[in-house]
Amino acid sequence: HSEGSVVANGVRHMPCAEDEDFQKAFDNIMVESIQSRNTTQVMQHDMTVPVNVRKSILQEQSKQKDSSIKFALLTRKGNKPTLRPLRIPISEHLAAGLRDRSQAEERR
Amino acid sequence: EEDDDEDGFYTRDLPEHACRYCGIHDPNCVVMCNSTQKWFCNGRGNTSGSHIINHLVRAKCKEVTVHRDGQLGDSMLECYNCGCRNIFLLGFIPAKADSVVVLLCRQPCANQTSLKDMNWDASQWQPLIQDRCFLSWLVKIPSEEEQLRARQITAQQINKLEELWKENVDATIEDLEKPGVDEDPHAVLLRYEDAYQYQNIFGPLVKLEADYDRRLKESQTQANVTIRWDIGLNKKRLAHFQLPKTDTDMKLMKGDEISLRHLGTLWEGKGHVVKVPDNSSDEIAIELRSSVGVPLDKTGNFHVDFVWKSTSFDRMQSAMKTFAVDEASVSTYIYHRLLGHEAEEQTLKTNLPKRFSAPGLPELNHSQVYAVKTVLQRPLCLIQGPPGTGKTVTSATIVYHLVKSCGQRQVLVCAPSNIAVDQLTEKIHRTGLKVVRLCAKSREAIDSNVSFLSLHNQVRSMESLPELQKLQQLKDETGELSSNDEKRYRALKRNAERELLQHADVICSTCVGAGDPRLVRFRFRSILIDESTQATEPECMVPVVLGAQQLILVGDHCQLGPVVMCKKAANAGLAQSLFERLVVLGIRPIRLQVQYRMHPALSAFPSNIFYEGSLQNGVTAGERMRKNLSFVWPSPDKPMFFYKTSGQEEIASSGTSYLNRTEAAVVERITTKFLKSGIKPEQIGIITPYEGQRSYLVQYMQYSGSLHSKLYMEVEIASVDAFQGREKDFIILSCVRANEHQGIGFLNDPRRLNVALTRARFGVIIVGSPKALSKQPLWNHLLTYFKEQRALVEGPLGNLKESLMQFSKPRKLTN
Ligand SMILES: [Zn+2]
Ligand SMILES: [Zn+2]
Ligand SMILES: [Zn+2]
Repeated sequence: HSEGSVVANGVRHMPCAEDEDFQKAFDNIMVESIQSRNTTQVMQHDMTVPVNVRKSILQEQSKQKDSSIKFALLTRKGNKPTLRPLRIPISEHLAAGLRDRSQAEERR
Repeated sequence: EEDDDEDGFYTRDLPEHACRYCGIHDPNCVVMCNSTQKWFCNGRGNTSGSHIINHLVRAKCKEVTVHRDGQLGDSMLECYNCGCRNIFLLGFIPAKADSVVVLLCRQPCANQTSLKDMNWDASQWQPLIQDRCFLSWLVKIPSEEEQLRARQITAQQINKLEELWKENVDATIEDLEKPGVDEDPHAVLLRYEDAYQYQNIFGPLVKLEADYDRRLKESQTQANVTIRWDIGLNKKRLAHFQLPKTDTDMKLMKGDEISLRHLGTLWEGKGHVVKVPDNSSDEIAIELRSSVGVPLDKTGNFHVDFVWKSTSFDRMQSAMKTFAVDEASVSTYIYHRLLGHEAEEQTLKTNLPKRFSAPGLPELNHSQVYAVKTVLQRPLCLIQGPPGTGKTVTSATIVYHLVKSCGQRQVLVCAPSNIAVDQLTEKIHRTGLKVVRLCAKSREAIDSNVSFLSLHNQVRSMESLPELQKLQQLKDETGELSSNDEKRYRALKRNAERELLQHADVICSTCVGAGDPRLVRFRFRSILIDESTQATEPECMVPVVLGAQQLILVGDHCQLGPVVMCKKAANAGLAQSLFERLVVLGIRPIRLQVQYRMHPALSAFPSNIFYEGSLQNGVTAGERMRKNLSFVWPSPDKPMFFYKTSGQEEIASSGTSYLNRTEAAVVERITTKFLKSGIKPEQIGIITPYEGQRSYLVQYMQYSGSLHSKLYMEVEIASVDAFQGREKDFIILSCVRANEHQGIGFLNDPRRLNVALTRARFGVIIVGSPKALSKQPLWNHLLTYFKEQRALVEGPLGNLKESLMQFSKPRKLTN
């Protein structure tokens, strides 16, 4: 096989029985996961964003001029809430929502 | 050489974090599966999900770790609130006013109402997995170019590799090409040259199934289980516990052996299951073999292991060996017929009884009399009993005549399942014959309606042996006997068992139970196997080789066949019953033709589709009409309808299964209507294909049903398979999954549909999506039938409207 033929084929979805089985199994695992938690009850913990770290992370201007927005992901380190930078593309509604809101605020 | 470059890409030592499927190892593109510690990339290759998702789904893993050189560093992918790491549940939600996001599980944390007050916007929920890939901005998807340079692995290869990992965790894709690994076993034949060839073909299939079963059981270890201690009625120590819901490939059965370990005290004890999860509770109960040293003061930190037993498989292998080497195992005639050789028809010289009905049992109808009469005169017979045609009564009557009229010394009666054996035992007992029900030792504690006929209970009540009774009493009270007493006790018991067995007219056991050492010296001329279409061939052979000269196989090959879990073995033909093969060989089954279960309107479709229209009704519409239903059937003389649910059935990758919920709600409303009409909960059966939907329905009815929750608890909700062989007054069938592209799964098997449709005596309601179901020819027929009967409906239950939906004309069924 020459390189040319490989490229010509590209990465294409090849439907087959094994792949269909996978799709079904995927749906099953999804439903089972959700249903297994239908009666799960948990405590609601405090989910406040730690103010001091937030400022430093979000204000640190990004040099990258791409179509993503800088977010901060709230995680735990040990038991302590921390923030970790995370870039989310504008095309995602998570990011788009924020952009719309800030634009609306600017206009006001 | 041309190929050098490409080969080099994956034979070179790849880093630990390279995708185990394709070799891609950009740290931003890979994720590690926590339970197998293997890395996979987020590229799809030529499959419909990314490699990591392919792995997680196929290996049933749910937790992952990202690469520490990626943008998340060493953060765990877990719910910020509860710590849940099931990635199928996780997703992001943003803060209302900030560019901050947080990972939460969708159930229950992202659904908590208090989130609002904390300034989080749950409506912007974004699942971690979309379109069967991780979010591409979280785990990068390798570029097309990268994917093309990597190893091209197909879904088939992925499947095989995952299978291989179950045996050898370090296997690589190169191992797939090694000889032996992937060789498919030899498929079953229609005819065999001799019993050696028979054994050579079935032996490996039984081995495959045994290996599969062992791996499944052994993989079910559970850590950190909490125990509730209790004492059984027989004074034995019971341990109750719950297992976290995992996938439900493994069916836990009463009698299964389990080993319990306590991590703190190092105590370990064995016992067997006496209760499995059911409608009343999710608890499992095991009865411990010995109550000595049980750490009753401890409840937490127990380890549960499933003990695999090879007994049933060993017995099948040994039966096939006996068939091959022992000429006396079956008569010459049966030997040749079983192997598919031509043999001249034989008639047995028997004194036919004057009356064909047996004492204690209902009068027989014409087709039952014909069956009994024919069977008594032939050395090999098949009886086909469609639903509700009195198969068990016919079988019991045959057994009665074999003993009484034909002078058989002893008849062996078997069936694959304990339930079927118990039912038949009870009927045979009613004719006045002396019956012994032989149970496996592990099942002696399990109660049934024929417990008093079981060998161990009959031994206990033998008054002719006072010494045995005294020792038994001592053993029951103290739990242990001195070693001398124990020896004496065992010898006495063995003799008593032998005596009872020798003097029985009929011995009943499961098929594999017939391989019990206590029957080793017994020979049976006449053997009847009920539900034989649910047994694999090797399973059937266990009783057959005990001397069969007259063999009667009862069953219905138009209902569900044997359960074979190993796909390889099933595909090679292990899932075909002996009954079915004999039918293909041209032995015509005698069909029982009068059904006494279903309202005539309910039997019409199954009769036409599955039994060439030959089913006659032994009940009238009047006898199956339930008055005062707070409920109107669309056509008053036809107690059935198909309730159309809307077509939004595909489960979005985001994970909400609206269809299940919609159908569950409809099923609950119908059930409530039935209950309000005074129908007792135990008269209603709900059939649903998926375990997930079953447990969802149980919960949904408990919490959302408008009547007392206890009522719903007594409504049986189970799979089609669990309802086989049984009946209910009303059946509601919830089709659950139906989408247009992926087929309809379990409902595709015509035999399963047959069973689902033929359980009800008074009424059937199907809830499903006609749009999707009508694509399948058999379902198209069913829908067309319902539509012709003006019973395809939609709208509110109190005001059902005929659906005007059109679907394509059904194709001709090839059957
Ligand atoms: Zn895994
Ligand atoms: Zn990969
Ligand atoms: Zn959570």
